[in-house]
Amino acid sequence: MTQNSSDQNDYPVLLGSAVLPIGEHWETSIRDLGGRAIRLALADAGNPKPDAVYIGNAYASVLSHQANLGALLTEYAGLEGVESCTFEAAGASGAAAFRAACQAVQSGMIDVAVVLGVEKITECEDSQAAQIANLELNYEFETSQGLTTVMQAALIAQNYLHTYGLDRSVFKSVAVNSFLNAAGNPNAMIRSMTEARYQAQGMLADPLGVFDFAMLADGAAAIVLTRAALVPAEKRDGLIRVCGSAGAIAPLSLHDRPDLIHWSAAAQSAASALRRAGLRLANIDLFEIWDGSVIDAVLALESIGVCKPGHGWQVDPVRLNLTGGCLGRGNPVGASGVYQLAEISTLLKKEKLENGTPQKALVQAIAGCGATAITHILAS
Amino acid sequence: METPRHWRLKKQRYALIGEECPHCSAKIFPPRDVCPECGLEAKTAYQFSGKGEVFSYTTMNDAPAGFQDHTPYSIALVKLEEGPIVTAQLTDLGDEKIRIGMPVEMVTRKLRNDGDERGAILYGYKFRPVL
Ligand SMILES: [Zn+2]
Repeated sequence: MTQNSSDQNDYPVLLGSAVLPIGEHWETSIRDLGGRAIRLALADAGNPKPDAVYIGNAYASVLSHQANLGALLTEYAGLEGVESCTFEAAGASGAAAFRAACQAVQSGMIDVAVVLGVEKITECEDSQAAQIANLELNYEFETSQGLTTVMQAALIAQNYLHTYGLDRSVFKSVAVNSFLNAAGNPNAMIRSMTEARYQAQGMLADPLGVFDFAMLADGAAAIVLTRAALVPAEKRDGLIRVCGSAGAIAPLSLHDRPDLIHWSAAAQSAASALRRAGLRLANIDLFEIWDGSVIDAVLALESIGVCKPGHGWQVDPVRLNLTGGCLGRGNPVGASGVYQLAEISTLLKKEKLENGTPQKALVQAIAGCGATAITHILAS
Repeated sequence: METPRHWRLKKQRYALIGEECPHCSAKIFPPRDVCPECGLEAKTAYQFSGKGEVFSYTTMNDAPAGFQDHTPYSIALVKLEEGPIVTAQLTDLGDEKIRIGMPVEMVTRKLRNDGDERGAILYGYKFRPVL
């Protein structure tokens, strides 16, 4: 592995970040959301001059009738001339853009990169936004049969409960963990939650209910990256560094997967990211795991190896989704991967300042119920 | 309306025609260029029997556009006798409660209105309990 042997000084480090509150920004366009996040992140980083802006976005070409966000948003942020384009991998779009930025700064081809995750959901009625999410299914053999992303998660959850002889109440712990953690996140779109309220939820597609899915919402978050060698030695210690990064895919359609409840892409991308970081799972202090639906988190935890098969819902011992996850935070799909990374890096920084202990976090974004997984290892 | 697409897919949708790999005899549905079992090229047409069993299922209470006429409706992953899994709606259920392992067979039914102003209708496979 080239990244294993690379010099410590090549590692990408985070110079700064910014996240806008997730919610319904009726009055704000995708241009304003994206432009603001870029400028705020650059200001947080001390206004370095960026060489590239990599954008994670999933739905703008349909919901905002807007392609080529690279030129639109980057120029709007006042960065005319700077290289910029979009990375799309549905829910993992933001993580894909971040990974591209890591590759660019680590390789030396780019010195300072901005990663922007942006999604504008509220340009249309709720039903249209939900339908757009179905773009990530196989149109010819899933969508045309009436399958939706919600039903896809439900088919997997049903298979999971049947395989292990469990009932749907096991999902409560994962959901409530995220909802309660979101209460401490000022940028989360709060849905007040108690165990009783969770238990009383209506079914969307059995065995999953309305609180088992993250609500789609608007959002923009940005991170500024460079490589360690370009930062003066005395400042380097305080920065969060990216010590591992890897992506993997599995069949998009459920009917093409030999096993619905082992997510090979989640497993492979986590294992590769850890290997490149020279770490083992036991070295990770906290986990930011994708929970667009509860079954995403359960199966990611099992596939990565944090929990044993059949036990991915027993999350009490795990420091999990301390930012609220997608469920608690709200889900600006193509931006969520950047929210995960920006908020975890802020948390790592804060905890190191408070108690002086360096920590490591595993951050994973998933798209299409395990079809795509991108994992990063952050270290303070 | 997407006529070329529907024309291209009609053998698969009406007759459940997939492929048999000429190298390892794996049965493949939907058809694809590379055999998922052995990784070699696959292109020999194979007609499936249309018999299988429910591998997983769910019932949707909140249907997407084009499917509202049928709400609530149930979708299953159906494991065909020959091996592959197909995503399809369940139909003609009557009072029968869906369960994993339930034997089902293919029928041709209206799938959806295409959502355009002419209301083009799309037909294709669904599965019903074996009578
Ligand atoms: Zn073969």
